[in-house]
Amino acid sequence: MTAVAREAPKRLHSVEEFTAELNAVMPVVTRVARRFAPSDQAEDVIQEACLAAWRYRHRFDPEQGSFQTWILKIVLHEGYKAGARGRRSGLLLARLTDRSHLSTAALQWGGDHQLETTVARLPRRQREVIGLYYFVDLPVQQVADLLGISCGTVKSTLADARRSIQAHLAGQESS
Amino acid sequence: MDIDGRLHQAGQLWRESQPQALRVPRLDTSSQKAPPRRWMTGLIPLAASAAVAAMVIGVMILHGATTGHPVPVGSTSTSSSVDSPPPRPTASTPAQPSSTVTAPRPSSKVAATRSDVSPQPLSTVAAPPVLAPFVGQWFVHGIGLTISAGGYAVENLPPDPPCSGLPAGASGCFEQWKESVAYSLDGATATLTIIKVAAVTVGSNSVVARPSNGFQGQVGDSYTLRFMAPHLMVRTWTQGTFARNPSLWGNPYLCQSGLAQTLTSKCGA
Repeated sequence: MTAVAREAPKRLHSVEEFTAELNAVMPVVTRVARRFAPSDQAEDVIQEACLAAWRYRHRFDPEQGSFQTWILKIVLHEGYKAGARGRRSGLLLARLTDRSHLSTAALQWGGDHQLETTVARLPRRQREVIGLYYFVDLPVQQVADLLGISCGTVKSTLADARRSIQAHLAGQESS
Repeated sequence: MDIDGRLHQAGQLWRESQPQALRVPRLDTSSQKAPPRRWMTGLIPLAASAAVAAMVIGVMILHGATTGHPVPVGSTSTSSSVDSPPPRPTASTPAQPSSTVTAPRPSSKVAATRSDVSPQPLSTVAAPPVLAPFVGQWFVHGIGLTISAGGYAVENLPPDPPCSGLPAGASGCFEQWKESVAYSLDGATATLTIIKVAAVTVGSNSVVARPSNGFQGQVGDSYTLRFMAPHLMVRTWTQGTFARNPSLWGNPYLCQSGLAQTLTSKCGA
């Protein structure tokens, strides 16, 4: 059997390499943090995520996926942790915390408040897919990688979410 | 506009409304540790109150040791650290084999060795300040109780009446309780509360239909355990059917291997 020479995967050993990779994906990282973390904690979440990524950089395997997907997973996780901490602290009532901030944000940036409120009421998985695809502007493949599901599931979840939103908005307009 | 277009437009607007991307935080490569987490700050008052409580308990124990007032069962003696006189042997204490029983751990000095404690037959043992003695396998008649160190226990009882709907090959079944275990601060008693009731086949551990007239235990029923002697505990129901009608529950004792021969009759062995 002949040994196949394989190029060693690129590991991130030095701070410079790591920071360079991080700088390249920072706009997307920021958008995910602002979208999925409680509105006032996006910076904290990014800091926690970057430090966690640096601490566990040996676990990053380029063969398993891109650096962007890896860091976004950490950001998403830290965002939910921050939301859970907020709920535990009793900052806002139960599950309303991480949903209401979206509608508040919509009011702040003057967007489609009705649509944001409807999106905020969707089940978590649908909210994630809608947020990552439409708002963070990630392609379907990357949304699938990030959430650990198939592209088909992403598409069907998007379709389900759109149907739910349409039904909800239609109900609001008729009433 | 359809929903897809509306969502795209909303996303576009949202992205444009966002301020500039945040900068990469400075990575502290020397310690490689994250800054203290916010939730940890919530533990500070908790730790402070625990420290105060520990001090209060310590003062109470000291007070009991110096004044000779009865000390709560299970609290450790502090006679070595205070100026109280050492326990003087009396004529009755060493000669009574069934007097107050010391804890299974030889290293722990228990308050019951104080000279002013009058011996009583099979009186409550001062349990050690460790929880280990409760952990293990206990039995009485057809009942088996396994207390694990993780704060849970499993108790198997013969069903009354026998289970119905046994799968092929199953020789029988027993009623199984899963229980949570909580220990008192002094480690003298353990409170077990039923958190799950099921009928389980012998051998295969598969769940089968419940007995025709229901289970003997209900979720939420609870009882306390305390030591009567090394390897011998007594059960006192505090919640549920058996608490309301103690006579319905049979033998209150639970035994363990290593029990003194003179006491084995407690568990019907």
